[in-house]
Amino acid sequence: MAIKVLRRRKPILGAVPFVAYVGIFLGIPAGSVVLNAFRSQSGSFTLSNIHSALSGGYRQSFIQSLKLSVIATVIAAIAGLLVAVAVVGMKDGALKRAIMAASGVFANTGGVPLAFSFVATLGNFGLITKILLSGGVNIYSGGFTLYSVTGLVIVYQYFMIPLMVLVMIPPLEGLNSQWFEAAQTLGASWPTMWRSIVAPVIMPPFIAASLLLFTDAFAAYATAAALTSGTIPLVPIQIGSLIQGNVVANQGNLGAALGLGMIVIVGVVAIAYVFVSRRSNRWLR
Amino acid sequence: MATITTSLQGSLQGSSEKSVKAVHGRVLGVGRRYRTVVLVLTALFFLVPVVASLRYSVVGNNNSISFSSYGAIFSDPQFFSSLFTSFKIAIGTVAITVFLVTPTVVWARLRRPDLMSALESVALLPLIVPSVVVTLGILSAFASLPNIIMGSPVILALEYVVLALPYTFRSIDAGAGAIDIRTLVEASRSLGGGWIATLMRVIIPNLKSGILSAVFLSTAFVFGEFAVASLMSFSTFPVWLVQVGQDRASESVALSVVALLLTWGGLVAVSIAGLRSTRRRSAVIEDELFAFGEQL
Amino acid sequence: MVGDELSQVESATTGSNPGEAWSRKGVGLELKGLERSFGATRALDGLTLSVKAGELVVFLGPSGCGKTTALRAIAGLEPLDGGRIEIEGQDISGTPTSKREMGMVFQAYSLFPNMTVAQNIAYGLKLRKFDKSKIDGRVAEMLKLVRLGEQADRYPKQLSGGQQQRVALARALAISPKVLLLDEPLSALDAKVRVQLREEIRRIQLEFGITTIFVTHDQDEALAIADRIAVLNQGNIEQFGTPDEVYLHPASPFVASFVGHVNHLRGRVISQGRASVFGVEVSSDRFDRYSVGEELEVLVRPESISISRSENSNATVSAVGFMGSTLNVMAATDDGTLVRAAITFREGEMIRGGDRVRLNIEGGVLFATVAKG
Ligand SMILES: Nc1ncnc2c1ncn2[C@@H]1O[C@H](COP(=O)(O)OP(=O)(O)OP(=O)(O)O)[C@@H](O)[C@H]1O
Ligand SMILES: [Mg+2]
Repeated sequence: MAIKVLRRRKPILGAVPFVAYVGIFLGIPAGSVVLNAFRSQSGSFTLSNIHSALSGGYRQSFIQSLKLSVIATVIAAIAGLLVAVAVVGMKDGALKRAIMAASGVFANTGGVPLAFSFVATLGNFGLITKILLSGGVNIYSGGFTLYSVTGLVIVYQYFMIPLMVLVMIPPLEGLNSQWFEAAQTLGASWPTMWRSIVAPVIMPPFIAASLLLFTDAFAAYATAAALTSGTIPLVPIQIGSLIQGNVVANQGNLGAALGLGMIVIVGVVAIAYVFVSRRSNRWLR
Repeated sequence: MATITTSLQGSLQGSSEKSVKAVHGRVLGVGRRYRTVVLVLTALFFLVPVVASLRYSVVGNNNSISFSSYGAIFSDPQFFSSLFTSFKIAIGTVAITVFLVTPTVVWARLRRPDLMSALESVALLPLIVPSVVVTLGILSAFASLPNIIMGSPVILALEYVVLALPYTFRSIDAGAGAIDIRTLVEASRSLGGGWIATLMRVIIPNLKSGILSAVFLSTAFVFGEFAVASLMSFSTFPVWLVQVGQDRASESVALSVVALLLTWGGLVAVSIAGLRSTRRRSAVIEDELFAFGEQL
Repeated sequence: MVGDELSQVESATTGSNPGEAWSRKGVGLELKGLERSFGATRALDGLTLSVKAGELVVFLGPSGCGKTTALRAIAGLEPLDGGRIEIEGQDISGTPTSKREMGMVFQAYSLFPNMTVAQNIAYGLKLRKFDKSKIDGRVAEMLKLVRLGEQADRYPKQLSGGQQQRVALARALAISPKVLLLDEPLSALDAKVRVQLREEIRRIQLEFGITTIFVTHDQDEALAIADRIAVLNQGNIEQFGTPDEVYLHPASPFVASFVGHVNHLRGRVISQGRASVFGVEVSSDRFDRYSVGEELEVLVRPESISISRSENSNATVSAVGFMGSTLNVMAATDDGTLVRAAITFREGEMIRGGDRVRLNIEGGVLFATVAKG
């Protein structure tokens, strides 16, 4: 009897408004996209939206988007790691704190203003473009343009590298010098130590952070839209054009199919992320 | 992506707290020269666009110095109307966020701490659905809603609450986590404080820093969000900014400079405030970082 | 992975004495004039010491006296500015750490976080390219030795501090090192575990007969487990001897105050070899070299103070600590000196705070120096 009294029903009422709100304003739109992806104009079930989303120009845009995000992520991940290693090696002090703070600020820079500041830097009349031109190098005649995948990769580094730095500094600082000393006394050489301790400890957060960067780049719309005014057919840009009706009509639910594709890709990456971080959590927690 | 930021931060903090001695350059095999080269190159990459923007905003495409683009901004009526639209949306977003998230966090920490990580995961869900896709969904799912909602920026405010959740939820929760609500409430109750008094005197003041940074984060989100607003054809500030950029480049760059500096200033202020008022400094900073990195 | 095969391996390895099959005979270790400076700090200042094969030597000393530096120098983790380190007469000063075959146990958090207990222990063996069955057998043996068979597949973070240190010990011993080096291995643990684990370390050390250096600044720990104690002060050895030697015959006032408790009392020489300390006359050859009338600082162990209930009392008891067989008594003498005494407790002779008693100095004086000020 006493047990029954103690085992009260657990309250859930307090979570209802919050969960309901997210359900309505995120769940319903997302759900409708998923459903519409399989629906024809007349409302009957069809796979033709999915089929067109995966063929022709739209297939190409998925490839472009993936290419952009993968390249941007690989560069940012490596550059970010190199910077993080440099920062970790520094003595604690004003400079180190300033770098950390600056990383925080730059990681949060994005969207339209970022695009325009790169126009001022590497655009047709940008500062660097002009400086190089006065030095006899015309990057635009050399095939470069800021308004391209290459340009976006460069621009995205502006927020991706700092994000990587911020995420990698804690695990790098977590490397304990006693592990290395212990390994040495046990007979380990420098390369062995890297292989058996540094790499395994650093890899999971590194991969996790890279996945995070990837989704960031993959879903980004504002910077690309502002910079290229829709000229590069990335998936988000394509969806945008469909919404704005810039394309032939009666493709109403094609956008939903493209959206579903994005959700699936981001979702897969998210699952990979959870998997990787759970793995390392086993021994880091 | 559910546990992303949480688990990542958790594990990272865990490991750095416990390690006795941090590794120095020697163990990572890097020296002073490496540091200098890497840091100088990095600094260049990040400072040049700022310098270039400042220069471009006063020089433009022709090489004469003038502050006319700044002047032009202020004389454009669209500047104020778009700013005002964004401002109204921000007020709505902030109000709903604070009144939706704060009670949830306080309730969960007091009554169901075990639910905390599930709620956090819910707050991170918007990261899985790109904002372009959300827009698509809004347009089809809510098409039949009355014009007062769908035809006005009200829908933006309602949606921004959700889209900014990954950042706002964590900053309010970090504020709550830093103060151990449970103990405070028990102490207050044991001293004879009623629930209302406890809420007003104990909980709210202690959550202030977390709420403030959530306020800033959602404001900055609203003033930076482009995808949803432009695709739904609302003239918010960033949407106007892009329109300006299409034919008056140096004006849009001038505006961008202003926008960047304001955001950076705000961020620095928030992290300084955060540093001062909570002991879990890294958690707070990281929250904000993660917060904004996602916002693109 | 190792866990599954544990039981088979246990029956396969014969020994009742796990050390037997593996341990080398302990080796002698010589430290000759070790020097190491950090800027102006002389962390090691000509440290010289000879450790016998199979002996457990404790480095004892105050914080910053160079214990860690000395230990790390022996392991090759700290370069030396001067001096030689010899094992069995062979100079190893130039050998890199990874070839020295020293087993080292750090204060805390030295286990590889990405490896299980078994993998941690196997680490050094894998580097030596032993075949799998040999490694598994050795790991199982080590796990049994430190009583962690159940935890073989856990990660370090899932272990208590004491368990982590036992794993660290097992990992260091697994490679049958020439010398075992422990740098305050127990200082991060709570008191009870600390005592338990130090006894375990001593048991294992004796079982293996491994030459061991154990660093601590806890004198009880030092006295409890050492064959010999090296008391360090400012980068040099102040005294090197067995626990009883160091305790009973400290070589200097520094050693006397660092090892065990000591009363610093004021006294005045009243005749050749005799002095008056808080009104009590004491004779000792320690006073011989001082002339009559000189003011001295006199060092006396608490056990050397006797307490009696006589008519002519000279002190008031201020506090009594009951330690079972002994009583720790704090008493204020009539001239205002606070004296600490440790006496054997006999039933019915309880002393309490406020009691008037007579203090005498009977067990002798450790040191007498000219009083400062
Ligand atoms: N890497 C270093 N850089 C500068 N000074 C050092 C360094 N390592 C040790 N020292 C100095 O050398 C002296 C001896 O240090 P050591 O660590 O050997 O002391 P210890 O006896 O182990 O002290 P503790 O009991 O506190 O561990 C100290 O004064 C210390 O400040
Ligand atoms: Mg030390």
